[in-house]
Amino acid sequence: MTDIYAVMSMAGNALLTQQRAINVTGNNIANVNTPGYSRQKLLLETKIPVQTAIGLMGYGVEGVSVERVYDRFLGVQINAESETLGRYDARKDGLKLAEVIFNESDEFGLSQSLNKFFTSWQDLSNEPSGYNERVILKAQSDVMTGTFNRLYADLIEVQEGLDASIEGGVAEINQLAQQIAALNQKVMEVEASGDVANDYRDQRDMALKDLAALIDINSFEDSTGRVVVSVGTGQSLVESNSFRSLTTQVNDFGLKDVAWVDMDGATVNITADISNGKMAGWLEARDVDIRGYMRQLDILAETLTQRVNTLHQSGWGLDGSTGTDFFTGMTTASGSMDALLAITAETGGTGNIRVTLVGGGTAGSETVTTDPVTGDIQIAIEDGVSTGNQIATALQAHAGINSVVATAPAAAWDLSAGTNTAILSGGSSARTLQLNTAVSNDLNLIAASSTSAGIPGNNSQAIAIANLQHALSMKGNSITFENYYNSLVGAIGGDLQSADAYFNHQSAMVVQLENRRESISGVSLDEEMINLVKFQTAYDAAAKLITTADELMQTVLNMV
Amino acid sequence: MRVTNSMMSTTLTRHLMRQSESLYRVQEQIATQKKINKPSDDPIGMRQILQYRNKLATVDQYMDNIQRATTRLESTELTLKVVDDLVSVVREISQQQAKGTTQSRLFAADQVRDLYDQVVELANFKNGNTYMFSGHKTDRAAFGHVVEVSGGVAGNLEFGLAANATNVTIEVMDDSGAVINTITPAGGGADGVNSVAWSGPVPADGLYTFTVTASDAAGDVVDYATYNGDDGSVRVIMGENTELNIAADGREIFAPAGLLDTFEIFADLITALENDDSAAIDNLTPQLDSVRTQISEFRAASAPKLFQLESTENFWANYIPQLEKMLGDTENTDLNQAVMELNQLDLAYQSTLATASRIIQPSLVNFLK
Repeated sequence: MTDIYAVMSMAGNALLTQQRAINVTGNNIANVNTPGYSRQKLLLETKIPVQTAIGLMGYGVEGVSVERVYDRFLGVQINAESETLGRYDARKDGLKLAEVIFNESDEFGLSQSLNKFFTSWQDLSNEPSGYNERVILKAQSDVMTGTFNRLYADLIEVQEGLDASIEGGVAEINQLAQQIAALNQKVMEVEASGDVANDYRDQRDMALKDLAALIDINSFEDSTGRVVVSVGTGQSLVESNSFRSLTTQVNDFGLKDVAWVDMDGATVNITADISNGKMAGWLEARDVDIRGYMRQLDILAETLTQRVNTLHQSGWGLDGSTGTDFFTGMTTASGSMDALLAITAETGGTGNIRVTLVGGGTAGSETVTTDPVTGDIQIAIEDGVSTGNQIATALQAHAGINSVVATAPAAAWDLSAGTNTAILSGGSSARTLQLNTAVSNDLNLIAASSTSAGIPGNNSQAIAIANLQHALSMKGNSITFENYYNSLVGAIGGDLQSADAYFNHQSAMVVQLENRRESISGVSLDEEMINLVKFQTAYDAAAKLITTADELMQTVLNMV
Repeated sequence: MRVTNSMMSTTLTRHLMRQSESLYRVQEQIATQKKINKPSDDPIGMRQILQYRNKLATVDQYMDNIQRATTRLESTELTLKVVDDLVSVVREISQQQAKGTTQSRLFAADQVRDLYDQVVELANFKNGNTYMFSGHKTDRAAFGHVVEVSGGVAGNLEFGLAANATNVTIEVMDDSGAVINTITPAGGGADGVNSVAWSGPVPADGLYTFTVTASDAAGDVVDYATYNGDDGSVRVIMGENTELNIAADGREIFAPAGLLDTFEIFADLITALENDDSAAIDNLTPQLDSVRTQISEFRAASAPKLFQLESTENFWANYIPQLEKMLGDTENTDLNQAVMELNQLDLAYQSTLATASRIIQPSLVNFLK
């Protein structure tokens, strides 16, 4: 059966639906610049047709639901790539700070002051009894040791800056976790009644992306539409509408580690498990790159002190003194592990070395390995079998260790009990390097003569020390002091260059992915304008339909 | 592909930023005239630059060392030339006085005494604050009457005598010239170099000068200066692990081992002139010739060292421009190339801006009535 009222009702529905469509279009236009917004569209369907004498007759249109246009897989991929992008971004920024410190291009750096130190010894060799030459040598030595100290202090400052970034990152992560948990709640509430929480989902996706840029996360959506987020080795960050938070704790190096707080307030250190995101980049720059540079400076200061002091001690000062140290400030690093092992000293003054016991070795022939960058020492032991004495013997054989005393020689080491890591700290030679104060107070102590009888005219010791400039003293006696440092500067530039290249590559990739997302979900004003015109015309037509139906009705009434 | 407004604007922004960055880099290269401004610009280049700079500074120091050594050798040469002239004057006197009178010989003896003083003064030539011919003992005059007290122990007093003397009196003086000790060796002194042990209280550590008065039955005996230095030589760094030894032992010039002692000959001549001893004077003239030969030989031995210094200096002088060129090639901006690059980048930037302004403005909105 069909009648005029049906036409009227169909036209009314059409008016309403087109108006809704205009509403959705309007929302799209309004959000054209909203970050993370996915365009929405009104899903139109024909209404259930009506059975008539001549068969099924269409009964108009209806808007079923408002959907957002979205590719879920793309979202996951963008999150994963954002993690990597964040990591290179943070590492690059950390290294840039280090590069500024080592910027030697303006001719006032350690390279030059090392050079001046040695040429000052040449000057002294020209006039071994000269007072002026001694004053200049003292001044150049002070400049050089001061530069060492400054570089080291500046690197510590960069580490502290990165520490602050890590703390800020933790606060940001906690805030995002809280935000995601709140959005989970809203999505669930809206969708319980069968609707789709488009805008809340968009916001949650944004928050997830921001979180991924900070730290590597694992996330999935459960059956009720809530996302579950975990970090580290599966520590839950967001679950349903509740969240756990991260915190920082001071580690043995005096820097901040990242820890996860469980329901009871106990913490789990997850620093080693953070492998991506800005947090990983900051940690990498702080604990590997910068620490490596500090260590190389330490080794340089340490070796320089050893070589110069050895020669200086065997020389004679103008006042007949001998055996004087030229540089001071060397300290040996030490540390202990539980009550079983006391590593009393590390060779030389290059400190902040981590000694770690791990499983997988054979008792009696434990293998010791060294990290080439940080100098960290790792020893593989046989868990529960290797004794304190065996471990001590194996460590003792390592070139970096001076002496190890096993306080419980016969006891077998159980990796599950106690801590298996010791930090050998205290030897930061580059920070403490200085000219022996005795020498700077009495310049006659500077030993230019190689014999007691040769005072004051003998210059052999000054020549010997000046010749250290060309001696292959570093890296297993393969390069000179100057070249060692110059290579360090080159290496820092290289590190930054490659971090920068990775960053650029990664950001190009993320941009491409975002463009694809934008291509699918973004708002095109042209398209919206077309839609607007389209829906408006449809609206106009529906209105015309009502007018027509009304006229039909008038005609019928007039007939009566 | 669906292209949205924000895609257009982000892509545009990104490309404009990238182009501005390239422009900034080229502009920096032109403004600083350096293509490497920080280590990451070119890590390997940066390392090379530092190496070249170190090398340049070190070579500068070598040149400095060489110049100082050259000055030293040249002033030695000049001094010894004057010494040679003076010895030749003494030889003339000796030859003339072979036929001289007693009176003229006494007068000549005074002349030779003056010349002796001059030669001693030249042998004690000071370069700045250091004595040049005292070996490593650069703080004391090479020749003279000096005794050293070190660690509370006094060394022997050494002096030369032209003849045996029965009475010898040694007066040791402090800095102010006051006599602090008088020593009279029991057996007097012998012809040649004498070494007398210290007697009496030992003064504080330091160097003390002394005078010698000697006589025998016939009258006064002339004393002469002995060497106070050691056999140390001066080492000069000319290059990487390359050193030059420059002799600084005054004995090699004035009293070489096994040869004649210049000052003894002078003293002998004075004695001979004063004693009117014709035979001795005759005998001394050829010896003075030998002394001149000794000095010439030493001068001749120094010449190759000067040559060595000069050629090494030339080598470094030629090496510096090469180093500077290598440093410049690594460090300096190639202006032509940079300006060309700037032009290209500028063109690209401007065309991007032009297209941007055309694409970004219109949308369908503008065309709907």
